[in-house]
Amino acid sequence: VPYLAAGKRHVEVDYVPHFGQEAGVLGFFAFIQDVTDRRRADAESQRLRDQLAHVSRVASMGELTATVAHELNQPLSAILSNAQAALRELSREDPRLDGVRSALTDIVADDKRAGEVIRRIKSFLRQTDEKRETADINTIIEEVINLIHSEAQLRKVKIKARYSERLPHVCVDRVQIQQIILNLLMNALDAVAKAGRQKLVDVETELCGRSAVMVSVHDNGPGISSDQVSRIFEPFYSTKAAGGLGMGLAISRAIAEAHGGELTVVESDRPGATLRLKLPIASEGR
Amino acid sequence: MDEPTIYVVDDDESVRSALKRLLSSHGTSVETFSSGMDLLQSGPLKSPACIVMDVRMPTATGLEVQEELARRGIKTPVIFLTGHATVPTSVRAMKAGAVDFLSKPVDENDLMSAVYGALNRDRGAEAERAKARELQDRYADLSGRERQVLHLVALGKLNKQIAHELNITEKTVKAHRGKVMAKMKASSVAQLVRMADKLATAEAER
Repeated sequence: VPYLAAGKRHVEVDYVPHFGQEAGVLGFFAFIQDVTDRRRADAESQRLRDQLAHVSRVASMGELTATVAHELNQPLSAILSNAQAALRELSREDPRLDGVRSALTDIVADDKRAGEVIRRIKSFLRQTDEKRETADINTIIEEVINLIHSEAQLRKVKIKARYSERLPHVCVDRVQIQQIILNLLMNALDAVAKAGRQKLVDVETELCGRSAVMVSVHDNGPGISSDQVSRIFEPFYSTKAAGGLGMGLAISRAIAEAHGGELTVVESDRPGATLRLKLPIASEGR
Repeated sequence: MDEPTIYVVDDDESVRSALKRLLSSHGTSVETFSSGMDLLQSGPLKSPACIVMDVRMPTATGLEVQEELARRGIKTPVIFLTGHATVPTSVRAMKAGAVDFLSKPVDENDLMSAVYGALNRDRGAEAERAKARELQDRYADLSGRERQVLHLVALGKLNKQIAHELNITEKTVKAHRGKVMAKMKASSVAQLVRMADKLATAEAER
């Protein structure tokens, strides 16, 4: 409803029919409510949540800097050595063009590899308005595992993924769900650092009833004590010695709930900790 | 002189093949390995040789491989390549005998000067080792009495004192001394003393 002075406003109108004595409807009572402010508040809190999520993504990416540097350095190293080998070859009396060609071919491949690393980071860090789309949860997880695979390797942690095949799709904002998964995996990597022997992180997807899919992230670290369980989802609560932001799980849970899902700690006899993300299946199914 | 061999150890396949291409173009023979384990299991390393190794590798880090080489008494010089060298890592590596610590991506000139330095060092060490072996052989040739005389001479004792200590005549001491000099191929007493020192050091190192 455009107003003369205040610009556009949103109203909600309930119509209640007015029945006459006999039969038929004489007219309607209309209850008009101005919901502009409520709409604004909703949009505002959505925007704040997006921003917070973005900040936390940047922070978690910051923890991965060393890994990213390594992943870019490897192809750059190979490119430099190949280029210098090719230059040497060309400066010979009778250069073997075959050798030059294969060096150049490798350079092209390594350049693409470095580009792929950057593309992955950019797509994760991009600040966009929430965009829901139907997606396969396994693919979303796989992308996150690719992102931290080298970090896990460095820390000598084995990440094992067991995907249920043919899961129904979910309707989610990809980046936000990846953020939850990244957060859970990074926490797991930190947790198993204290596990001396084999450091294991398991990721599992499965169908949960008819309406949801479940992602479980298990680590064989020291586990979560019962007094921590109630606190870990609170903002600014961190158990990390290095002093995490303490926002990871709080934001992750907010994202899960905004998607109509939930993020919980699973109580079990298994040593270590298990966190579970539940997301509703997209309405059109798979 | 044998053709030098360079052992490249990096878990990244493209880095390995690029380094191999570059190093081979400088006329060295290059062998590549995807892990320190593979290198250690490849049999005895050649000489002169050097190892060009990434610090950061999944199964065993470069530093761990370096320690294992040292444990096995393999003295082939190691050049480390690293994406981001932290001070503690480089200090630890250099203390453990790394020749060089280069950051990735590494420039051809830096790499080659490190490689040539390492190869020279390995050649020197090899020559040193050959000399030590030769000395050991000569020493093995001495009789028990001659060894006793050698030790006492090395301690700076006079013939008279040696004769007294071993309860033999000075003339016999002189005869032993002459034989020791000949067998050890020493041209002066000073040189003989230096040889005795080297033998003692080699003994202590073992």
